[in-house]
Amino acid sequence: MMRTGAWVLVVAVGAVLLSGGRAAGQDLTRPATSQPDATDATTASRLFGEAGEAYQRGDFAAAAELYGRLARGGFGQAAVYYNLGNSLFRLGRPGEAILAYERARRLDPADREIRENLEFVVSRIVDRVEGGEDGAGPAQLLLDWQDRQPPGRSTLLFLVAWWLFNAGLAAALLAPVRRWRRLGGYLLLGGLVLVLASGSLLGLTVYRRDAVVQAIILDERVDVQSEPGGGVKLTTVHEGLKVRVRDRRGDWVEVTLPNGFRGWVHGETVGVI
Amino acid sequence: MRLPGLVALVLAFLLAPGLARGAVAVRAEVSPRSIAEDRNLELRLVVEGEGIGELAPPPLPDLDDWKVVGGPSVASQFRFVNGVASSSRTFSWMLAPVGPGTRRIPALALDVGGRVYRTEPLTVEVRPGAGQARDAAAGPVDGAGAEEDVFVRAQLEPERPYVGQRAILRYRLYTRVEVSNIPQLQEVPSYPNFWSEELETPDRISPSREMVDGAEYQVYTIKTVALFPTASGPTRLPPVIFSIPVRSRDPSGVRRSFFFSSIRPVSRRTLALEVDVRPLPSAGRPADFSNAVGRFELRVEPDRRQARAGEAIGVTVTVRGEGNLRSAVPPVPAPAADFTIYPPQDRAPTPGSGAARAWEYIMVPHLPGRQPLPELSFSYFDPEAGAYRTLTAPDLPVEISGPPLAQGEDGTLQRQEIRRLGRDIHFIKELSGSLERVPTPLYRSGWFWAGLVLPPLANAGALAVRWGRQRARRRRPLNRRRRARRTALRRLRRAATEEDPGAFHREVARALSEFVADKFGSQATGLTYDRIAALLAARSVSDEASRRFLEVLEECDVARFSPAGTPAAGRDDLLARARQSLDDLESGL
Repeated sequence: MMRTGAWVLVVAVGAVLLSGGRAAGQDLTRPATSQPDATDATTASRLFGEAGEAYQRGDFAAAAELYGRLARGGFGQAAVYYNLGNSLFRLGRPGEAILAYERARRLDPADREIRENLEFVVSRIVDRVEGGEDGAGPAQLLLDWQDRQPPGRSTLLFLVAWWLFNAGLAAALLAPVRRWRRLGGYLLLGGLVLVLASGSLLGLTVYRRDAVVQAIILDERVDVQSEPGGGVKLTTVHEGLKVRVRDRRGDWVEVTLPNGFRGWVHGETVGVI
Repeated sequence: MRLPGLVALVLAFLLAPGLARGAVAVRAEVSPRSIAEDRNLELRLVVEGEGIGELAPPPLPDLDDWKVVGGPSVASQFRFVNGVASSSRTFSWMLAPVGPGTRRIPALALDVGGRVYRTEPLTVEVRPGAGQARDAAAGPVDGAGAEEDVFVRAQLEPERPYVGQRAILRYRLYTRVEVSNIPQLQEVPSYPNFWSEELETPDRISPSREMVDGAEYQVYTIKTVALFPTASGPTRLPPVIFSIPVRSRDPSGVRRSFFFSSIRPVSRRTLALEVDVRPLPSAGRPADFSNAVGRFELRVEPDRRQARAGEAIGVTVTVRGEGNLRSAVPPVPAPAADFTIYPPQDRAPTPGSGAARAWEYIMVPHLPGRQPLPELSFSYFDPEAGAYRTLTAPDLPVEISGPPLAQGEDGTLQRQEIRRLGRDIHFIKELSGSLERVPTPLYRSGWFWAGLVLPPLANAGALAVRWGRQRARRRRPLNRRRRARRTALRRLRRAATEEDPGAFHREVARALSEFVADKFGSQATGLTYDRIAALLAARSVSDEASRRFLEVLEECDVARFSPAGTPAAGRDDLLARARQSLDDLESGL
């Protein structure tokens, strides 16, 4: 029992450590535009309000600029990215809009409006790839459910389970009364099950959020090459398609398309989620 | 001086069979050795000699640097000088260079009487860019017809069209000589990356006048093509070659007589046009953009203004203007719950100027009353303004009579299914509180690590404490036995400080009895002399040592309860004996 608990702990800790390592790689293709434009919450709230007013009077360019400044300044909450996505969509920039919606969804996966706006814009992009990532069956249902869980929830669940497990362990080993020790044993078993389940969920969440780097095609047409900067043109993809980033060489990134095609595109033509 | 061709042919026919076969010379020549990129070159193969007889034009070798645009033509000449007859034959081809640079004409081979003669390869400098006017003004610069001051230019308007924009390609003839007819293309041109539509050229063309390099030219637009770019980016309109019938003039400038044909075709090639096709901007593109590029007007005409509910109204939508409507999609009517709208059908537009497309929509009204037709709008790109435009038809009310379409025979309204009329993104969100910075995910924060590490640490600490207590409990009797003498000596030292005799003896007695209790793991209370003697005997303590110990103990007990007490000198002796007894027992136990 102790061995299993230790194994779960190692897996969870490993997943978090792995996420830290890949998170650094994730910034490879992210443009270096993180200079804060709004330094305090009051200014940020005021800019948010001005952006909303610009949007309502139809000045989507100004709205997108203000929401973009907030996001770059560290105030990139789900609502900011969502509104930025709306502004960019109204400006006829579906690729950037999808990128903003995806970032909003990472922050608040349970938000229905974010999901529906994302689905709406994605339904209007050019590329329809056969054999996409959307599958069927219980595994996909589990992934879909997991997609909708906020990352903080699975972390909290795991911590609660971990504390219960350790409390059970302490009671089972240290309680002076035999009855308490028996109760501690039950708690230990239940905690172990919870730790296994919540640890798996947390590991999956961390892996899908940080270890899997995804990006959106931002240019209207992008040629996928067999080599960085040359080789054979494998295919052409269009604005708004979600791809997985595998590697980077200089200005070029290797991507995997939803149908499994792999190739290289210029780093400036994609935006990392 | 050249003889008239007819006379030369007759003489050659009559005299050639009598000529003896003699030396034959074959050479290739071009003139000039340097031409502009848009000019043609005359390649001549000259055969001279006696008795060359009938010769067929030889096939040209592979010309990688040239394109054959005319020929071969044949000219013969016969000479009879000082009783010696000789003849020559010249084969001519018109060549157009494929591009600027040093261009090579490989050796030509000619079979004369079974013997093959080869010429030397030639090189020609082809200058880049246009050079028609300069070359023409400088005199004869290419082969046949070079002396004719005439050239053709291709002009595209606008020079940088957008994708789908209608651009006009004009071929303009510049001439200072008389052209007898409209020049014709030598081959049908192709325009890659463009969809083309040839525009009609009038039978009679009025010239304009233009100054080119200081010389006045008459300018005719001899061909007009409408081009529609199909892809953005740089592209190239390839050169085309025109055959231009010009009236030749003799050196004196007097037109030749009617009997000697004065009309001769000359070839002129245009320069390739580099075109940068601009993409349609993505910014501001309406969701209902129709793909039309140009400038248009929208007209909406219902076939009736009065109808009964449930009757079909045909609504014709016509878009007309200057531009490209070929790939335009029909307008999408605004959602209207009170109309059923069927997909549009293409209709032939009414005749008129410019491009036009027409669609017919069938709309069925549901409710009676005066109702506006569903709104129809058409979005296109205006290349002159560089912006998208949306045309919306004005409100067109129609009078609808009769019962509502959803009303049953008995006059009751039937329930309708609620239909989705359109889709769009949800509106922007507002903040419930103030905007805060996005925190680090919980699983990357220090709280997570603390929560992860603290429970096992607490458990480990608790286990360690428990283990320490158990160990201490296990070792308590041993420690007590080991520390028995030290404890007893400490009590004896404390007893020595006591002034009160009773307290002194009590402490000494306690030190001795506690010593025994510690050594045997029992309680001092209840240890009688006999019990002590038995315990000491059980541990093989000598009777002498046991006796001395019990004497000291007994002496203390007696003194504790004796009113006289013990003198000071006896106290020291008692303490010394007590220490000695302890030492004796320690060594024995």
